[in-house]
Amino acid sequence: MRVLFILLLLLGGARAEKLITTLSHHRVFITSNFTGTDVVLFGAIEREGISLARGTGYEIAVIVKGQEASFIVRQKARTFGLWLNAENLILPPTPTAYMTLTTKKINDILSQDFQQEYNVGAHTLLKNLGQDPFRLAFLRQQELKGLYKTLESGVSFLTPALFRARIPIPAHTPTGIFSVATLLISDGVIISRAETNFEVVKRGSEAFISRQAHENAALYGLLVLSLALFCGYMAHLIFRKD
Amino acid sequence: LQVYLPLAEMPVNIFLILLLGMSVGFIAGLFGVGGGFLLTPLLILNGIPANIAVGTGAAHISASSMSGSLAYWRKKALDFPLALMLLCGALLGSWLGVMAFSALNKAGQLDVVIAIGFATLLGFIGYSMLSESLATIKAQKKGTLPPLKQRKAHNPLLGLPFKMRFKRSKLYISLIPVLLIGLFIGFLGAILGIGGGFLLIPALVYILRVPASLVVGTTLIMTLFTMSVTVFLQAYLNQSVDAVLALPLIIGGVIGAQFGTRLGFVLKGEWLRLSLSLLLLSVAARFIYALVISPQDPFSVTLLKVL
Repeated sequence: MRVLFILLLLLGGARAEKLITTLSHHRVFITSNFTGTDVVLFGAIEREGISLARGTGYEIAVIVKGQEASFIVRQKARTFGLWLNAENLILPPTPTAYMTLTTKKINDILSQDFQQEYNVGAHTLLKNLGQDPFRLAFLRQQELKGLYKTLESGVSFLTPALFRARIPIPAHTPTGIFSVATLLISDGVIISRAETNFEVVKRGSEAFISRQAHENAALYGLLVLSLALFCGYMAHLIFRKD
Repeated sequence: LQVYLPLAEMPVNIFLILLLGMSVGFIAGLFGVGGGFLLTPLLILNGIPANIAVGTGAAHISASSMSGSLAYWRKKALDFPLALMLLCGALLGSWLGVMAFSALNKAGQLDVVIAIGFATLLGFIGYSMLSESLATIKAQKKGTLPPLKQRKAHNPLLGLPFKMRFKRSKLYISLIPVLLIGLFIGFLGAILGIGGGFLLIPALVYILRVPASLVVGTTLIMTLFTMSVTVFLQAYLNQSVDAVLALPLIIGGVIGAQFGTRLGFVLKGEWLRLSLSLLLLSVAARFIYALVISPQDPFSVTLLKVL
């Protein structure tokens, strides 16, 4: 009877942690001097009415996902002595950016099955393609561009119940809404989960120019052309020798 | 000072871009060419996506050919009707070129076609210029100047129907070769982001036999027309003209061109052509090298569409 009671308490306790997260900013603005930035995630673990401490302590995994997009991966092959694009593969919808931040090595805090189920780490993406060289090339290149990233000590505890993660946003970040999922892990089990998001948007002249170039393409083209011709005319006026 | 390019969606160092514009402008002024054949490859080598490099390079050339043609316009050293006829061909060529550009971009072969195009063109022109200038230098050393090229017998192309009189050039020739040359230059200009001056000058001299005093002015105004059309079409159809990238390039370019032109007056023509040919050949070699050696990573990733 007493054993059962303790067991119940433990089970109840397993669901009793509440995870609260917040971001330093919910909008990242790309302005003319944008060279990348950090979004900082703060989190708190609230334990409701249990004093029973967990033997192994808490681990955190933060998964940041950019908007989904379709990508094409092309493979160059030697044709008549030249390296030309030959085969290609259009990938199923995949995030434009994918960052995983954890307190420790992912393999030390979560089993492969859980990593797979909750997409912890970019290595879990497009798993149905298996060891397809196109998939591996995609993951490799996204990582090289800094768009896919795994930071295995990217989350640090400030106090036993308070943690912080610095999410790096690279200079050539895609725009759009980024979802941020935080997993609270104990003993290899995910015991709580919190979601939030932030948006990367162009602002100021950058947003204006890019919008005009796409929406009023004809007018934009005429304006840029007039600007170029005007510069040429000015140069002629300034530098002419008579 | 990093500046974010709204269409290329990446930051660049604005001083680097100014410097790039100035060096290309300097070389353009020195040799009397537009410099597009250097600017586009240099932008690509600095990480600017190929489509933006081509579209924005065209804006740079339209600015420099504007100031150039104004100078020749004032001296009346150009054949305006001939330039207009060349332009008619070039308009069609530009349009075909921009369409081909879109199709190649979609098919993922744009970079390769740009590389092969530059390698072939620059290699060919560079080689002919190299052998010509070396022959001249050699002959001068021996003291035997090469025989002046006579206006040879009529080129059969020029005798085709649809003849038109160009008073300024003192020519009465068929429009067919004129339109074809225009078409070819317009097409290449759109695909490679070059003005084509280094192609048009020999075409005017050797095929149409335009008097030497009118060649450069006519080439410049024709370049101004074709590049203006190309800038508009690239911006309108491909969204590939980045205004933030174009401005420092243009400003650097017009400043560099002034110094280049001044140095150009001092240097001897054949030595100038010799160095230009070496420059063309080295750019061509750079493209061939990239096409022939095994790439570090044979795979490339392109974003098609955000869902």
